[in-house]
Amino acid sequence: MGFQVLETSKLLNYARARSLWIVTFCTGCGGVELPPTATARFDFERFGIISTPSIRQADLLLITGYVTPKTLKRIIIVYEMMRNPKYIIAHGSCPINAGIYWDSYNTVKKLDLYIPVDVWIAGCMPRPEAILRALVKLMRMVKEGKALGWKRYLENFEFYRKNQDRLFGKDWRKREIEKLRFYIHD
Amino acid sequence: MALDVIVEILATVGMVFLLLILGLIFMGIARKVSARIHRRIGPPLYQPILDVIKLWSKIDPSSHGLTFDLGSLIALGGAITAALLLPIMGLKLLSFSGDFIVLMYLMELPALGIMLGAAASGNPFSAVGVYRGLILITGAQLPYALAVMAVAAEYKTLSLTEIVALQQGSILNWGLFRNPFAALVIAIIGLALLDVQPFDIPSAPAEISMGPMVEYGGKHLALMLTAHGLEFVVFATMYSIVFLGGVSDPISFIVKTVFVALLAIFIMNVYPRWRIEQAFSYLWKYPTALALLGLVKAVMLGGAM
Ligand code: SF4
Repeated sequence: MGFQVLETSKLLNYARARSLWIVTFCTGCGGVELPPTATARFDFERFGIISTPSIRQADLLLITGYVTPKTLKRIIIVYEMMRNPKYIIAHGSCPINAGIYWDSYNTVKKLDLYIPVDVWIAGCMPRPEAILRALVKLMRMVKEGKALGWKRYLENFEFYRKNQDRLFGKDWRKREIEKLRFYIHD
Repeated sequence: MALDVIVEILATVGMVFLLLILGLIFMGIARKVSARIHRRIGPPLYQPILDVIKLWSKIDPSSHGLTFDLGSLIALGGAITAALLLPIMGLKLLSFSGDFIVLMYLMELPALGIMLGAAASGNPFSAVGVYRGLILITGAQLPYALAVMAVAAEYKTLSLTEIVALQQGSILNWGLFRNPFAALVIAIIGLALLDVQPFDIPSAPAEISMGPMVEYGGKHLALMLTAHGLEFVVFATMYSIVFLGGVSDPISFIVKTVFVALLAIFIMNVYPRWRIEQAFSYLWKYPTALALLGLVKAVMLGGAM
C-alpha cells in the first residue's frame, strides 16, 4: 500500500472541516434520525454538510446502527472506494459493543476491529442533538488535523485485513467482485 | 503596442478569475436561497469556495484514462471560452460579428464534456445519465435553435455588442418586450442546459446517484463544480445582455444577473423532476410552439414594436 502525503495548512484544514460530505448509506435503525438532522429543525447544512449519493465524492461515512457481516462487507467496500482523507462516525451502542444484540449470532460485536472509527456516539438511539454534537466534534478534530482514522487504516491494513478475513473467509474480496462483474461494462 | 497586449492579457485573466469566483458565489446564493425556501438557515455564501478547496486538497485521485480527465477540462474550457465572448462592463475580449451563435453553442459544451468523460468511466449509473443527457440535449436543440433564429431575425444582427446597442434608449426596447416569446423559450431551455429542476434528469441524485458525475471526485469534481458555477453566470449574463438591455456597468451587471439567477432558483425549488419522456415531449410541444410564434413575430413585424 502506497502512502500519500496529506498537505495540511490552516486553510486546507478549515475547508476540510467546513465541507464534510456524507455518503447516503444507512445501516440499522439509526437512519431515521438523519432526516430530522438534515431538515429545517436542526439543519446540518449550515456547517456545510450535505449528503451525496456518490461514494467517490464523499468524505464521511455514517454507520447508523447495528452491523451484520453482510452489511459489513458493503461498508468496507464503500469505505475503500472513498477518497482520502475520509472519516467515520459510528452511531449508537450497537457498533460499540452490539448493544441489545450482544448475544446475537449474526451481529458484528466490535466494529473497531474491521474499520477505523473516528467518533462514537453512545445511546440507543442517539437523538439529532447527539448526532450534531458528534459532527461538530469531528469538525473540530479535522480542523486540528487529529481525525486520522484513514491513516490508521493504511498503516495497520494487515491487522484490519486479518480480522476481516477471519470473519468472511479468505478471499471474500474476489467473491464480491465476481458478484459485481455483471454490472461493470467496458 | 506591446503594452496594449499585456493590458489585454491582464484584463482577460482578471475577468476569468472574477467570473470563476462569481460563479461559485452564485452557487452559494442558490444553496442559501433554497435553504431559506425550505425554512432552514443554510450554508454561508462562500460555501462552494470551501467545497472546491476541499475537493482540490483530496489525495489519491482515481482516474479512468485520458478521456475521463479531459471531460472535466473540456467542461471548464468551454465555460471559460463562452465567458470571454460576453461583452461585460464595456470590456470586449473576444467579440466579433457572429459571437451570438458561437456563444449559444459553447453553452452546450460543458454538458457535452461531462458526458464524454462520464462515458469513459464505465459506471452503469454514468451510462444511464449519459443516455438521458443526450436525449435531453436532443429535445432542447429544436426550440433552442428556433429561439436563436427568432432573436437574430428580431435584431437583424448576430453580434452581441450590436444587440446591446439596439436595446438602448427606453426600457421598451429591451428584448424581453420586443420578443417575449423568444425570451420565455430561452429561459426554459436555460433550465435544461444548466441541469436544474425540473430538467435535472441526467444527474438525478436520488435515482441514479449524480448520473454522469458519479465517478468524478476530488480534483475532477472541483473542476466540474467551477465549470458549473461559471456556466450559471454565463447564462445569466447572456440572458441579461440579449433580453434585459445589456450589462454596461457593474451595478446593472450584478442586479440583472442575480435577478435571472434568482428566477432560476425559485423555479428549481418549486418544481419536481420530470421523467425523461415527459421532459422530451414538453420540450418539443410548448417551447417549440412558442419559439415558432416568436420567429413569426420577428419576421412579420421585424424590429418594430
Ligand atoms: S443502538 Fe439501538 S437504535 Fe441503534 S441500531 Fe442498535 S438497537 Fe438500533
